[in-house]
Amino acid sequence: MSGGIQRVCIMVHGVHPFGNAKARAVVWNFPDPVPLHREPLYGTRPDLVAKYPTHDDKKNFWRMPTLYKSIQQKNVETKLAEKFPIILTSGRLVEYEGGGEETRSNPWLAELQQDNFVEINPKTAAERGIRNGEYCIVATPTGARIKVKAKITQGVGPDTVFVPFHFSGWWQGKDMLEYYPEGAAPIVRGEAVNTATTYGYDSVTMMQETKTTICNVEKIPA
Amino acid sequence: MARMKFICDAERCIECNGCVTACKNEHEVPWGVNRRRVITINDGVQGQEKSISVACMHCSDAPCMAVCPVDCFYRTDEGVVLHDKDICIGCGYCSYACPFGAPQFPSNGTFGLRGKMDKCTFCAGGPEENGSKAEFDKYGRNRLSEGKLPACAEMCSTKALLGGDGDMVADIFRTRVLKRGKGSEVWGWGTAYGVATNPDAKAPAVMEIKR
Repeated sequence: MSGGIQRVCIMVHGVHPFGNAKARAVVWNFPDPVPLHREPLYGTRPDLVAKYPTHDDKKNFWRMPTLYKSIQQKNVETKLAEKFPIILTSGRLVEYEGGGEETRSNPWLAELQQDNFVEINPKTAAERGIRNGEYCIVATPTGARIKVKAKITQGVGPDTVFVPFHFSGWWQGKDMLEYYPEGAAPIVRGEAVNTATTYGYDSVTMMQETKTTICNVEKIPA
Repeated sequence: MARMKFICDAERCIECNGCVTACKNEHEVPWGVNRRRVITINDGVQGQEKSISVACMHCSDAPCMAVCPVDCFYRTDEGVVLHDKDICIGCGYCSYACPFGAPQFPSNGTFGLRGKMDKCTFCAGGPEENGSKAEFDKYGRNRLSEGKLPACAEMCSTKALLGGDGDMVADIFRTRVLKRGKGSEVWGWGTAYGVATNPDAKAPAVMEIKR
């Protein structure tokens, strides 16, 4: 708020913060210098899976058996993408942070984002008869059916939907308020997108593959 | 004497809602009253999205002041439009008159009546004594009396929202336009995403308004 970086660093000391780092595409100290895993385990492009198959399964990765190719292949063989033809990506909102319990308990922030939502392209929504602002179901291969408000926007393409991940406190359409200790529930509650995201772990860091999976979006019958 | 003004540069505003949160926090504004709001048009339409932060504009010829039946508005030496909640009868005329939607009413009145009108004060409090608890309870913090600028403008992450002496604000804005030009090229949109294939591309006739 004070503008200290401008006043002190730049104007007094002539120190200008700017980035001169370079993003290198070849990560020389990783086991696969050019990433081998390019198609997600749950994806809509079997043709690209054939061209860029993922890693072989690992029997012992940080003491856990971790699957890659067997899952990716099984999804291609069972034609899972026909049942779940839309890419689901999860991401951030500016108002909330992380799992959301702290920031959704803050009245100033909670007022700004009161419902979890799914961003759907107008064409995708029209195909399903879904209207802006009405609740709909996002269903994924985990069997999850999460209930979120539809936000029709051109911000996502017709083959993709976006759900933010800061919400929790609803389970498959039910508000779990009664299960929270008295006074402990955040002001805003909603479906957690990771109820719906699928298995997948990075081959070096074990980071979960929650940013890309497949889903279908359904209108809730009246 | 300074003449206080706000300006929000719609090219710089990134809809972070920092100004909204700063105002809410500084004055402990109740749920349902939004002294400051960020309006976004063409949300999700590439290259067309614009955001702007709106609150009371402290008009020179304020419509709210003109229509108030009990004359509870007054203007300070610096041009800030304030009102006296003790005189306000909650009729709502100012809310109808204001083109910016600045006067708002908390929803806690008896029998669903409007409570006292609440609006952006340019962080200049109200008629109560500067810095007193009574002033804070009714109007929020008085930053101007402490020599500070409004919390929203101070918090703005991109310095899109400027608030302060009108001459200085205009100077800053003019310098920006002279140095960087205007429009989305200010941020190098064409460099990042390519220039529009249709050089005569215009905004669509129908705009979607969010919030």
